[in-house]
Amino acid sequence: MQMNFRIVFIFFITVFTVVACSPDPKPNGDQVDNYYFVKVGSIALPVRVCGNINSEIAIVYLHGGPGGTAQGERANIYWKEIEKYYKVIYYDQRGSGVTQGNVKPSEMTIEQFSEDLDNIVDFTKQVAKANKVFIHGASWGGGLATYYLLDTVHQNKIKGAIIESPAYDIQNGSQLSIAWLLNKADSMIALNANIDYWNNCKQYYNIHPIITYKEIKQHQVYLVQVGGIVSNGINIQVQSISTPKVELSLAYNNSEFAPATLTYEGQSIYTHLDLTSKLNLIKLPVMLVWGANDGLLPKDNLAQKFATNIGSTSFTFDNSKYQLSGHLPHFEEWQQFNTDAKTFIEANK
Amino acid sequence: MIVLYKTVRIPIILKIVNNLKNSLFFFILQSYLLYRMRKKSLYLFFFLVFILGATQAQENKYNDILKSEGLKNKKYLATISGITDLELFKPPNINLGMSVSGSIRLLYTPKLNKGKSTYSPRIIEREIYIKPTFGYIYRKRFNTAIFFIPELAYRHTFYKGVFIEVNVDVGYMFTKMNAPTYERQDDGSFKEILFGYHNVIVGGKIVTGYDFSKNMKTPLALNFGTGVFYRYPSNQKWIRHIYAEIGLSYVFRKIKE
Repeated sequence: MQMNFRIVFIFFITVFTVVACSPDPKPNGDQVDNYYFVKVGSIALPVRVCGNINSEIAIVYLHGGPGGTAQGERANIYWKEIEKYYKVIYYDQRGSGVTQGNVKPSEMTIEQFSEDLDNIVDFTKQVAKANKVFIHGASWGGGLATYYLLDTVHQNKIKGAIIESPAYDIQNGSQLSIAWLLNKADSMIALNANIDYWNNCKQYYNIHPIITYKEIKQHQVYLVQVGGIVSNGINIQVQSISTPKVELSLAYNNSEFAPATLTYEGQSIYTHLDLTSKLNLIKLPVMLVWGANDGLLPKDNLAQKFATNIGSTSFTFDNSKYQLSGHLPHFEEWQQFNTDAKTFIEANK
Repeated sequence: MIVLYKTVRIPIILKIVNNLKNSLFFFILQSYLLYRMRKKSLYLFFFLVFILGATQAQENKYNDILKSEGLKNKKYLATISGITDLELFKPPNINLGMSVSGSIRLLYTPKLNKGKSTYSPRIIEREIYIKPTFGYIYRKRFNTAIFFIPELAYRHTFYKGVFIEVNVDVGYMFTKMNAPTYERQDDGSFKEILFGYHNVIVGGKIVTGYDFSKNMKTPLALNFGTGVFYRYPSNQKWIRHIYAEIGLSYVFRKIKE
């Protein structure tokens, strides 16, 4: 009898241990799907390396936010096609997504984020074995990519940059966004659509004329309802992907922590980030993409200003494209984006 | 002859009535029988029989109602539990782990509830344990949390063996990165390192189960329950975890000298 109890006990231990430690899924064929952490200071940035294992070209994707995550980005069907040809590096920024550690608010600077990105670029070359690196920044990620490229040492490490609706001038961009939204609100009132709601919306901006991290959520709520963020949702396609078994409350906390603490030259990025005067420092090949219906960072004015001021002689921007897209063309018109991205990479690899 | 008959029969009768301890009927009967026995020697003999019989009856009676092993014993538990750390958002995120703990009883206050008769007692165990607990929670591609918690637990075991336990936990957790971790060196090269974070955890859980050792002499107990713990720090904030656990315990009961 005593022996039976021991057998039951050992059985429980074995079952718990085996069930608790399941292996990672293996990708098929010539595809790679490896997961790493890159430690910078006391912070471990999660890095996922996917795509064509034989490719020496890698695209480092910079997520939006600030405070967003790249963990679910791969679900966008756009990346399925890109991963057939190239390696793609998905990483979460400091104090964002599911990055672990105890980040001090004083470390939440665009300067530090740029240093983190530099670590990821070096990691991509040495560990992910891709010596031709491109970066693709969307929204806030585009702003970070722009800042990163201001340093010529950084420019020498990469082959080119795909910059999509970049938050390079949030200071003026937020005012343009309010103007864009108020115009839409007037249109809705003229159409007799939910008049009270849109009058309240206008009132909100009378009370909050400047968008900070406190107002950005409400601002986005208004924008979503008039297609200012996603304008061509019907074309968005997603695929099933595996994701790390993260602490979701961590991701939720980070989505509030990063916007509240992120600074540029010691001031909040929402009120002080404007890189326009430094864009002439960027000399490497850049492809700029901007959705015509973007309400968060309106294309009119911002795109033209970027194109006018950038120092690159190899600059690609077609103002006639992405007429259906809002803030995220690589989701909303992913087929066109796919073609353009591959053309740009092949031309500059 | 009558006296002899009485001397033979009387002890049998007395043994039966011994069980009626402290009853008025017993006292009257005893006095009456003694009065009937005139000889001094017989009187003394039966007086001793009464006293000794009464003493013996007292001891037997306690044995029947409260078994000594139920009252005066030491009790330890060795428990192995499967843990499921739950994220209750969509899609549900389930992470498995395991813990082992040793329960050391600090305080024991039994309570006797009357059953249908005095011969079927219902002993309720009220115990306080300290439970040094080691364990881990495995999160694929995120971290493996290894923890040590000296839990404090109150366990209330009903007479049939069903128990409810409330735990309060304060402990230490090390969250080790669950993928290769690299760090750029001064010369620009990358080196793989072991890395993780130190955390404080606080929480509590409520557990219910069945202790087979209470009535069936089988030294096992099953338990399941749910709890919550918070780890700190993560960007100066507490990170909440909700979990469920199911466990199997080996129960050591030892009679106190």
